[in-house]
Amino acid sequence: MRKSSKVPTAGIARMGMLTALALALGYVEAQLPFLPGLPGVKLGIANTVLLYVLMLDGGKAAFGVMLTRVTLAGLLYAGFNGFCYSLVGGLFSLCVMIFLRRVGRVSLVGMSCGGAAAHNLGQLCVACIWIGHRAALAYAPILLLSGIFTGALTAICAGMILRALGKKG
Amino acid sequence: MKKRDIAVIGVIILLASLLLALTRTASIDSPDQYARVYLDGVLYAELSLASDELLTLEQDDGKVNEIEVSEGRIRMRSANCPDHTCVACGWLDPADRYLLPDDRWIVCLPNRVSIELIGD
Repeated sequence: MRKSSKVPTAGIARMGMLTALALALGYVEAQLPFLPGLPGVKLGIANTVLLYVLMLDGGKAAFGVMLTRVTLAGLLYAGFNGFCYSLVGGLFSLCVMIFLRRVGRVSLVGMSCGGAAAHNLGQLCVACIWIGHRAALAYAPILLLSGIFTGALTAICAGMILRALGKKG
Repeated sequence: MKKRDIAVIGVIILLASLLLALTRTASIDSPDQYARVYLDGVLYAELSLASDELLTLEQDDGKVNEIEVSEGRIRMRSANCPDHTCVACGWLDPADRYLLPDDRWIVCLPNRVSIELIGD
C-alpha cells in the first residue's frame, strides 16, 4: 500500500473494493461453462484485478487481496474443494509473478503468463493429492500451454485498464 | 512485449513439452506391472502382465472365472456368474494414461472374485 499509506482508511477501502471486484469477477467466471474437453481451462479474469494491485500497490497488498478473495469465494460459492484449489493456485501464481517482476524484470504479459502457468500447475498438484495418483500429471502440458493464452489475455485486459487510468505498467 | 516476456513463454513451452515427453515415455515401459487376483477378499494369485497367460479359477461350488493376460493387459475372459458385469468391464490396460484409482479394478461380485491392477 505504498501509494495510499498516508491515509490508511482510504487504503483499506481501496483494497476492499478491489477484493470485491475480484470476488465478483471470479463468480461471473464460475458461471461460464467449461470449454468442451478441457476441464480446468479457465480465463482467470479475476487475475486482472490481482495484476492491477500487484503493479500499483506491490506484493503485500496483492497477497492480502488474493487471500481474502479466496477465503470469501470458498465460503460463498466455491466450497472447500474450490478453496483448496484456488489457495494453492493463487499462492503459486503470486510467488511466480512477484519473482518475475522483481528478479526477471518482465512486463505485464510475461508476469501474467508465468502466473497463469504456475496457477494451473499448483491446482494440478492439489488434484494429484486429491486423486492420490500422479496420473493427473499427464494433463500438465495442456494446462501449461493454456496458461500462456489465458495469461496473455488477462495481461492485455489489465494493461488496457492501467493505461485507461493513466498509470503505466 | 519485451524479449524477457518471450523468454518466459519459451520456458513454459519448454516445460510443457518436457512434461509431455516424460509422461508419454513413462507409460510405455514400466517393468513391474502386475495384477492381483483376489478370491473371497483373500489374495489368490499375482499375475505378471509381461507374459500372456490364461488363469482358470474353479471354486468347489461350481463357480468358474477365466482371467486372461495378453499384450500387457488383463481382463475377465469369461465367468459363469448371472450378470457378467466383470466380463463387460473389458481390458484393464496400465498404458491407459488417464487411469484413475477406480478404474484399476474388475470385480465379479456373485463369484467373489476381483482383479486389481498394480503399478503405473
